[in-house]
Amino acid sequence: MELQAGLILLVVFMILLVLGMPIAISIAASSMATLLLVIPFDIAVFSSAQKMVGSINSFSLVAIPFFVLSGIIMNNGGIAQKLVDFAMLFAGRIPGALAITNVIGNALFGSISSSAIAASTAIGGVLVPQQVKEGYDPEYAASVNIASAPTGMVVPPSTAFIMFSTIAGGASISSLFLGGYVVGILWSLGIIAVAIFLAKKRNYPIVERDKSKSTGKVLIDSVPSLLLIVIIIGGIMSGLFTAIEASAVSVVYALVLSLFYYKTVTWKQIPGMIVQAVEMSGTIMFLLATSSMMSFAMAFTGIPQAISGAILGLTDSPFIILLLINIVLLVVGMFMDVAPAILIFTPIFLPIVTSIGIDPVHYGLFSIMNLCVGSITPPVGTGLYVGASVAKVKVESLLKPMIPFYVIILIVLFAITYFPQLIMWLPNLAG
Amino acid sequence: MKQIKKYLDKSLEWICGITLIVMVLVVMWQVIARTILNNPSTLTEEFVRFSLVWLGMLSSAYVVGKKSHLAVTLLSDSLNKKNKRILEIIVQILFVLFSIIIMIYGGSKATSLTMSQISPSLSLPMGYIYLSVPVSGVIMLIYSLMNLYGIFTNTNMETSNREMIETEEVLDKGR
Amino acid sequence: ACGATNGEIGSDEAVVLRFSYASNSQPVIDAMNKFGELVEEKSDGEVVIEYFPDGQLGGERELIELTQTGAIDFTKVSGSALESFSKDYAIFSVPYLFDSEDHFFRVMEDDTITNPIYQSTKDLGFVGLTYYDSGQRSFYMVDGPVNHPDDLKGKKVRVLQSETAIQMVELLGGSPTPMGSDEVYTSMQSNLINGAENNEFVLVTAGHGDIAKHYSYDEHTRVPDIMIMNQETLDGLTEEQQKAIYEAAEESKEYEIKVFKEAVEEEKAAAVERFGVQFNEVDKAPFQEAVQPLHDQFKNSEEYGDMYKAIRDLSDAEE
Ligand code: NA
Ligand code: NA
Repeated sequence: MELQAGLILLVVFMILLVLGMPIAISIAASSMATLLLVIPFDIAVFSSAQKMVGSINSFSLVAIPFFVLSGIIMNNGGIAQKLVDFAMLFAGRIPGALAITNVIGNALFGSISSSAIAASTAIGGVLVPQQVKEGYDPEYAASVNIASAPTGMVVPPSTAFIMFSTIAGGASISSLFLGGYVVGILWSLGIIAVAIFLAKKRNYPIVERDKSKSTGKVLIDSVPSLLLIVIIIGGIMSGLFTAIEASAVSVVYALVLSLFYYKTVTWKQIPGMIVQAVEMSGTIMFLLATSSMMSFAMAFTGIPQAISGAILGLTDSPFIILLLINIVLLVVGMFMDVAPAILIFTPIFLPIVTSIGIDPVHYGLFSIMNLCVGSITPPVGTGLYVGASVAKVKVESLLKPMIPFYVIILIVLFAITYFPQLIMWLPNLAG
Repeated sequence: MKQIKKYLDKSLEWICGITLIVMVLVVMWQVIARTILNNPSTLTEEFVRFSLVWLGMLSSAYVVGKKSHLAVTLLSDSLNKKNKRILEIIVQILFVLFSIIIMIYGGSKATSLTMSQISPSLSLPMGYIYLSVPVSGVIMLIYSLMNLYGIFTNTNMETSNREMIETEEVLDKGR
Repeated sequence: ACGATNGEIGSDEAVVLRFSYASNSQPVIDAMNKFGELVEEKSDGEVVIEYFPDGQLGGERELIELTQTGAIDFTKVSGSALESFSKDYAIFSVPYLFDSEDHFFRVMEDDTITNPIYQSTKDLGFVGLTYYDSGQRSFYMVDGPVNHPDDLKGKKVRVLQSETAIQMVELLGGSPTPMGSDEVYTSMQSNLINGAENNEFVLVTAGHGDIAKHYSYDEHTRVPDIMIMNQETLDGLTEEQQKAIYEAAEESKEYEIKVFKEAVEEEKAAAVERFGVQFNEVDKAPFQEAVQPLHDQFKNSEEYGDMYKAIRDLSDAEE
């Protein structure tokens, strides 16, 4: 039964997916086909409609449209340059300073916009051409930008974690957020280390920062943007509001900041931004709604147990189980976006890892980092193509220069997989 | 036809947009009521959840109108114009089936089953929440039929292309 | 639902019924599994039960709906989740409805009281089979014990999304703060709330004892869990099979009450050992007095008046 159901689910889903059908529809069709094996038509369609509502009827998920909206407002507020200036204060006279600035800028910008592509175009768009002008290799500059662009997806606020928490039956969002900061920092530090090493080896010139902007001016300009991050961490740690409520605060804060402080956004632009937020969250929520049908169909036909039984029957070594899961997710991440991959694979893998004593928060942290890596891995990694076009280089020419960065990312990924204390100390500290 | 679509788009944009803003304000109120007024609100959470369900369902239908759903485009990118058109027709037919079978039929079943179920804090019939599914299903059906009409008559091809570009922008930002 | 499918295939084959439940503590899971074993045994293998554990198919509210439609045949949920479906179940949320544990069991074992409640959802497509003990609910706080309602003054206490629970904390002088269970730990840690109310299993199983060190036995509510079954499935079974189901439910309940008690003791010992949680007994009189308006509400209501009276007639004072 499980085998037959699993095969139908997988085959229908893969065929539709490869044909280029919308992921939401591929999920719904394959789930219906599977459900009809075991329950009458009327009950199958009722359950599907029920799951669509049930998956969204969750207070935590309200953070998705809210963070999407605040990200859009911030993007339009023109804060990229301000964050670049801020990051330059720190990178200073280190070899490869501009590249390091790019890494820090991507993490900061991504923390606000949660978008790898937006970060690599906004921050990289400013910094990559500058690096080329200063004599850095364009491939080097592009690689640093690409390798660090996805960090913003794990640095909170992160819709990926909110989604994971809902699927994982309420792993604490606050804990995931705090762990996400650590993952983002480790990832960034890894890229920075490689960037400095290569810059030194290649004797890249040390670039002075633009002295026309005083430190004070840079701080005055950039600190209000950075405060959003402080507000979110502060809100969680001080008990003023929950991680979810912070999302509403961030909308109001972003709006006030860009309307009245930066004056980069006008009242007239706001309806357009809201519509954009509606459309983007609609895409995400449609996917959420349909993928809950798939989880239901899988659970009803016992597919997750069959898979976990197969994996656990193969080996009982936690080391190998985690290795297998990481490899599967890396491959999945190459072809699929982070959101659907979380929705589809969490119900399958989470019971396996919890049965070998892994904390759901820990699993959430490394699995989502893993899937984010997929956005910059060929052949479908969109981040790779966007990063290449920002630097005006060919994707093929990046494959070799990217290798040291992929290596460090994989080292970080495996470190956080096998040494949870590396990332769990902050969530454990706060609960 | 284009005019009707525009009207439908605008209506949905207004309804969803206002819902989103109201939700932000209600969550802000929840924080203020608890921290400043020291009188935690007991209705806000359920209200926000139910609004989110309606927003989620309506915006899902809106997304079908905008053709901005996620897909793996590895194969379709390599297709010629004629095959792309066939593919696009299949996509829209699947949306028609999905909206009729699951959203309208299944959603109506869920709505009528839950009309007598009363929500704990707002005391609303749960059927009002489930009603979002068939209602959005009807809108999704209208959109996918319009999309099909556009493909067959070629009238909409230009808008469709413009929309494709918009779609890519949205997806990029979504990542 | 599946019963019909199998019936078509042939009468020799067993009827396979589906039982799904949300996340539960191990003793309760054991009891539910025991139910399946007993059904199989008592029906001579004619009825077999397949389990979908840990909320795989949805939360409690959704599981009830799935039982309504026959997607699943059984579930076991908290009595408070059933309030949305039948108002009869709301009576269990009334604080100090029961004077003591003994009073609670006397009422739950009285068929003249429970049967009408179990049958109240028949028109919706399901009925109650039996109850499971889920213990008592008391306040547990971060800063200090609750010996008197005054100790709740100005304290934010997390409650369930239930009108009665909210009113209760208000009447006792605290600030009710409804929120999801997954954020309770962090919210206590960050002082967003000062405490919550639940049975002892939140302390070690959910880890709340790490933050909240004071568990005060004010024992304000005892809401039973209820095992429910799809009506059509039940009607589709032979008389002997129905008898097997009812007997198995009854015996698994007896088993559950026994293992639940033991588990509570284990949980308490673990809470003391792991987190140094302090348990204290409380004089309930001032609490009972404070929530009297809620009692009056139910006593004088047309809907609940008779049921309320029947339950109170079995109270310790009346013994
Ligand atoms: Na982020
Ligand atoms: Na990807």
